[in-house]
Amino acid sequence: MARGVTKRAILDRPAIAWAIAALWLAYLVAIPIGYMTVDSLTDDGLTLAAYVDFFEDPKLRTAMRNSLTVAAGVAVLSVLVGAPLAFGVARTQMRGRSLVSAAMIVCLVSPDFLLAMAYIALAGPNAGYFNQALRAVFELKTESGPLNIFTLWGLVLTALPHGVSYFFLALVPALRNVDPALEEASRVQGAGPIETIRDVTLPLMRPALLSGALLAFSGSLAMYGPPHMLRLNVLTISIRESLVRLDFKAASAASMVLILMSLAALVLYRHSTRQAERFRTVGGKSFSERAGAEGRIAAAFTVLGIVYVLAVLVVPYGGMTVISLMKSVGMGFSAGNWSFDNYRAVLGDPAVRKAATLSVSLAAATATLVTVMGFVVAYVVIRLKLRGRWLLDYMSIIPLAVPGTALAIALAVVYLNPPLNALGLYGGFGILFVAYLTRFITFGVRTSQSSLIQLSPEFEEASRVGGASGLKTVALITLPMMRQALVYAWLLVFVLALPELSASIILKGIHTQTLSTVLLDIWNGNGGLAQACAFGMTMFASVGLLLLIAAAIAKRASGGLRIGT
Amino acid sequence: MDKKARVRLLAIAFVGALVAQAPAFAQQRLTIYSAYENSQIAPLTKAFEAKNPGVAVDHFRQPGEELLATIELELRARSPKADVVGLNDASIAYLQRRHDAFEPYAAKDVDKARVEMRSLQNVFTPAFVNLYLIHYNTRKISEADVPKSWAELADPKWKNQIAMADPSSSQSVQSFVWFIADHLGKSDPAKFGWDYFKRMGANGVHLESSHGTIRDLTVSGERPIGINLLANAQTAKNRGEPTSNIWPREGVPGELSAFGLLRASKNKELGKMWLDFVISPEGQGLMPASLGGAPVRNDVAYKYPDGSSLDQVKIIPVDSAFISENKRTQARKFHDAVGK
Repeated sequence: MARGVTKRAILDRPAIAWAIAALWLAYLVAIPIGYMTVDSLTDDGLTLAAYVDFFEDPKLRTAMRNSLTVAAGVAVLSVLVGAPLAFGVARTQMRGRSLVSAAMIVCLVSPDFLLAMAYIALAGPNAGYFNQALRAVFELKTESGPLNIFTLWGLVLTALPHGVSYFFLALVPALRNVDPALEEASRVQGAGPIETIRDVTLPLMRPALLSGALLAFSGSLAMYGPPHMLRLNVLTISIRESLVRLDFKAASAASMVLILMSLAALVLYRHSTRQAERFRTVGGKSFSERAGAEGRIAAAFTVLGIVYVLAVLVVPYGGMTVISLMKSVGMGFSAGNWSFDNYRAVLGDPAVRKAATLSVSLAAATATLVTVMGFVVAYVVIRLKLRGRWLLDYMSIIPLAVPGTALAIALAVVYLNPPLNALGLYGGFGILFVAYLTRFITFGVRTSQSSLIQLSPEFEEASRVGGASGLKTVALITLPMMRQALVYAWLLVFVLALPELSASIILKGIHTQTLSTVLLDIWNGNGGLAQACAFGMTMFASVGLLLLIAAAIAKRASGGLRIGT
Repeated sequence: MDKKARVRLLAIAFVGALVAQAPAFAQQRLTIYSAYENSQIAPLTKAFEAKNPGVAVDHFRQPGEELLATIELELRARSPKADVVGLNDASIAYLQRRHDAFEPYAAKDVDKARVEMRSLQNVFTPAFVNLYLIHYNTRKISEADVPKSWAELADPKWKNQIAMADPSSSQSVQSFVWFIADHLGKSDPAKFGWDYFKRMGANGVHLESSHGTIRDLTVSGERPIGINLLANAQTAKNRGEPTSNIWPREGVPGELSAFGLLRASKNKELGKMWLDFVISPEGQGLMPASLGGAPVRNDVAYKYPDGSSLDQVKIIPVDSAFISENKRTQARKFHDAVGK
């Protein structure tokens, strides 16, 4: 540090903020992805052999096709299911709007593999309770079906609530923030409701629509738990199998293919929404208090909302609760087959308590650093007019296109080989922390970016004109105005990190089992279905409770946190 | 809450997150990696801890093939964390061949184990015999109707009713694959060999990552027939589940489950105490109720979960050396045949 340079002066230098952001992203994103890219392309010299092997392997080709089919199916169905629900909540007087919004948050928070467990118990072809009921009600002359959860469609169904939640949560605020004058002008000019939606509302919604669909698509590409439980051949499973065979070349190539598939969707999204200025709501004015449609339209949306909540929450988690209380799953609903033993076994298990401590710690630490550094990166990208900020922008969004399984392979490759193996991170807390930071950094950056875009720079410019330094302006003007967004980012990352599975399953060590890996282990025979359901319900209830506490804290801190409602 | 309090809270949460990860302090802790369920190994570890006050056992469980990968990665990272590893003898031989991972140790009383169960170089200490059998749900399938042979499982009558382990994750199923494809494949190629797995694939066999999950699917009735290990049939019986088992008439592959002391262990004396305990009369007596297998000592009384005695079951010892050397090829052939 040069003599005589004050702390304020250093912090006022945009280049230093740029350098901090660049180093942060380089360490978390560029090094692992770059290392894995090189690893997949080299073997005693430059070669495409790993990719040739990948595309020559029929099992891997099937896995790729299955991954794409499921992701596309989830994205399309998320739009078809999520759009009417979002419209109903944002623009009608349907009953149960808060219930639907809460259900979306709960679905997002609860791990997808819990739903997979529940749907297997309900829609397993031979013994699924829902199938048994259907066979009895319709007097079907078969011992199997009619539903079969162990199919690609079953996987789509299992992943759908997550996709719908992403889509819904992206769309509702956008629907509310559209200036009603624009739609009213269209109606005054003689356009009908359909034309108005098509020509005015939908174009304004494009970033939110694409953002929601992209998240549903990439989230489905990245999922590990449900295909593992349903025993379906998708790329994340193939990657893990390659690692189990210690075939790092195959794992790297498969990971790169998966990343490229996700990146393609991301590029498409960026291309469609590159003119961010068009979506700015100057001064943060809200239009949420407009009167919504009533009568039959609202009633129809009410029915849709109730059916959705029943299908994704009440029935599956109700079913899991019932199973969790069974002494023996094989004895079914017989008298005397009920107890809390499974809960006692789970709660009394030191391994579960240790995993809970680790998961909460990891999630809290990740949420904190991701929120802080997310703001720094976003500020550099949006506010500081420096060369190369587009690079930071792209680097910060890349993790969204990197499924946890692929990221874990990249980190394993990096930290098992010189020079970074000297850090001794592999198999410990450190490598999980790095993985979590990388996985969720996009959420921190994007949340801050969205908030900064909507926050008119005139406020900060006025502060600077008034003589305040850049740091003081950030501290006194920018951060307070972004408080709600930052609290939201922390909460979002915390609740998403808590049940993280796809990276943890590969990077866990004996002392670093997380809640999700322990649950998957119990499902995989280390306790059985009833115990897994008891654990799942405990996890579900704990996460829900944490969410309520966090939301209450956020409400006090920011004067009210609104997510969807 | 004011600003200072919030900042403090965040700082405490962050520091707490890091500090909480420090391993619990204990003077003597033995770390065991195995493919056995926590509930299965618990009676054994508790008895060991009771016999050795001041010693605590940490157990880490994964399906066999996944555990092999974990151990290999730890060895590669030069940070093996286990003291003792519990796997079948083929997997232990595999690790020994590739990494010279185990330190030979002749446990006390190892000479009481049946000769064919012992390791020539004392690389492992034999623990129990695990056998393959047909496990079925008695509420879904009657005893009269249940298949009595391995060959019958390929009958379309059992379409979408059977589950078995996937060699991508499970080590033990390699024994079954060898038994069907190689052992029976030579003696009765019309019914067995790789074509048997083709027929099983066409019959919708469900592949699972571990035998414990297969047991649970059998118990729930989702897959009322499981190609499973004796240990899981015993566990189901211990839990009072509505299941029973069949010893197929072609015979059953028998694999040896064992424990080995890692050369890199930092607690070798504790590891040796564990190996001594495993082969002791007390440890062997606990095998059926814990790990669920048949003892390796002749002087310990034993009956199978269905009441059969040892001499009533035709056991075919598996070719561990062949499995150890060919497991990748065997897994690929299996997946090609099953079509999954």
